[in-house]
Amino acid sequence: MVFSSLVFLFTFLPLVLICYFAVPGRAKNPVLLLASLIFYAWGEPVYLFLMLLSIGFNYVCGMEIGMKLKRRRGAKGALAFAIAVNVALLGFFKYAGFLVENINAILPFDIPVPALALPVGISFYTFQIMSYLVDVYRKKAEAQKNLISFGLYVTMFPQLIAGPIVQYADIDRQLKERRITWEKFGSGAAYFIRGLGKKVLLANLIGGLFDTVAAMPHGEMSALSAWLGCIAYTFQIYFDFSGYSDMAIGLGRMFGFEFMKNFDYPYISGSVTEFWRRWHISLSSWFRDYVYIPLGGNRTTRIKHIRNIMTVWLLTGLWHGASWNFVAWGIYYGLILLVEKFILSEQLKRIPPWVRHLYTMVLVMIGWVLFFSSTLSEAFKYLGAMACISVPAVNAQGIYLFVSNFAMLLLLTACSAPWVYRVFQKIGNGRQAVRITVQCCVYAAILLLCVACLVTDTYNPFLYFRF
Amino acid sequence: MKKKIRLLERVKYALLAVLALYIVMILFMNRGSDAPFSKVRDAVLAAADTDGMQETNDRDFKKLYGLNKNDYDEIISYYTNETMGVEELLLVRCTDEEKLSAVEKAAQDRIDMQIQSFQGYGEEQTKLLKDAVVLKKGSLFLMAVSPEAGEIRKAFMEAL
Repeated sequence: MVFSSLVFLFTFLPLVLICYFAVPGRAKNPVLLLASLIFYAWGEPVYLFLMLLSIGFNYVCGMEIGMKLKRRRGAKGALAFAIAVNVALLGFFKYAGFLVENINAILPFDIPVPALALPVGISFYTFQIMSYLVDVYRKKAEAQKNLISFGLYVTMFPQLIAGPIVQYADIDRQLKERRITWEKFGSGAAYFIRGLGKKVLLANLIGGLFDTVAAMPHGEMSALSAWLGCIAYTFQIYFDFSGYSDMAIGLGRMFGFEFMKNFDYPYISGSVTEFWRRWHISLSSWFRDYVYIPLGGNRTTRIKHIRNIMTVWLLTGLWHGASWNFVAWGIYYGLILLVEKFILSEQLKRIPPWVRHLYTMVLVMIGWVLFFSSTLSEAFKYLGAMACISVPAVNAQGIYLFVSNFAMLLLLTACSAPWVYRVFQKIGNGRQAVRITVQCCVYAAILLLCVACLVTDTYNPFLYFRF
Repeated sequence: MKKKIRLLERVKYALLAVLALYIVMILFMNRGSDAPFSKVRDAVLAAADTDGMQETNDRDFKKLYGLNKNDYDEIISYYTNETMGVEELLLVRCTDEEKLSAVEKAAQDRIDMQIQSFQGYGEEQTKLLKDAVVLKKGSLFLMAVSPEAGEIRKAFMEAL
């Protein structure tokens, strides 16, 4: 089930909200857990059992680590074993096919490739589970004794499928006790509608331009069309994923939870380093806290520091998918960040902001080409088209696409910067009643427009579902 | 506490064993099949009512799915030529994973497009399209938009 579907908006969510607010405090977690399991089973009935087993296994592992810590014996081994099992599970479902295909390319005979679908959300919930195990080991949190609370932490439907990745220490207290107020509910609903609008009204619409360009035979493409396609994807993935994250954060608030912000206007960044501080913040934080810092972070020799950065980025690339594209994408960012850190840090401060911004966006867009192409050769072919290699700079189709999408691209540029929202927050010049009335009308209009689009739309999942 | 830890360890290994068993079961359920294509084809055709349908030629196939029929050696493809008909049957065996995925995507796109065309005025057609069988098992792919979709699916699975 996806948030931007009529069945979620008009059946699932209202029913869950009614049940959640009708039951007393003690029963809220079980209601939310049950709803989360139904939400997951809706699309993945086969893998529900996998998730339940994973919850059971890690619940026991957490308790074991907690007890062994008290005895001061064997906790490290128990943690290593639990992490190994989780990594193996993720590896099996996500990377076995990729590994076998690459082995087959070398061997004179073929090993059958396991034809298994990737369980939705496995990358996200496995990372959350590992965060729990490590936080218990580091004594940042107590082992969870309540199986329902632990199950809820792993499965909570607002962020189960595509994050934000919640670290256990941040949510431990909220699982026991959280404040649910109408004010919080209202701000959560507004957050949710903003996210829905980003996904349905902006990402899906600009996705059409990207699909048109992606479907063009190479011979018909011009450099202008290639750039337009890349710009369209740049906006699509931002509004799609940040829209999903906003919906998740909004839903969480409606149920009384506070999740961390996942996006902070990444396209206004003045460097790639800054871009990664603003893009998918929960994933970057996870890698920082559980991989980069344990490896020594930057408090080590320069060689080891470089190794740590490249390890994190190789893993970030692989986390996104089992393909050489993602490996290349991770290495690409690792290298850029190294160059910015050790070579360009001073120069970047001296150049005008608009040049820095242009430099960042060009590098980010090149990164997205690696990301959306299905093979490395396709990516290079596309990058070649952007560089005008063996395609004309401009053709009639490119000009038509540019003219017909120009207004949309301007709107998306405005919406990807913070100013539009800031103006929206200042409506009424301090008169609260005016501001609230206008904002309610705008949110109602966005919701209505989204529903109108969804009624005529076909199934349109989020781009990050495949991770 | 020692006893408790031992108990937890036992439960942990037991759960791990169930997890391993479950994965083996999933692999078994998703395994490909060595059954000859002719056997699967005959079973599927026996369950499907192809009276009002005709076999696609290269041009029809390209028009429906945007793919070249010649790229696939083992294939059967039927469609209805009635204006308001949506019945289609497609069975393909292909060991090239990329080609098979292309068929799967093309079939899903075709169904989505048909739903978009019929939604709002063709209630029966929309229902058939929404209940369509789209199934990949190993190197075999089946798509069936038909009132007998359930029977076709059953025949396909039994023939594997």
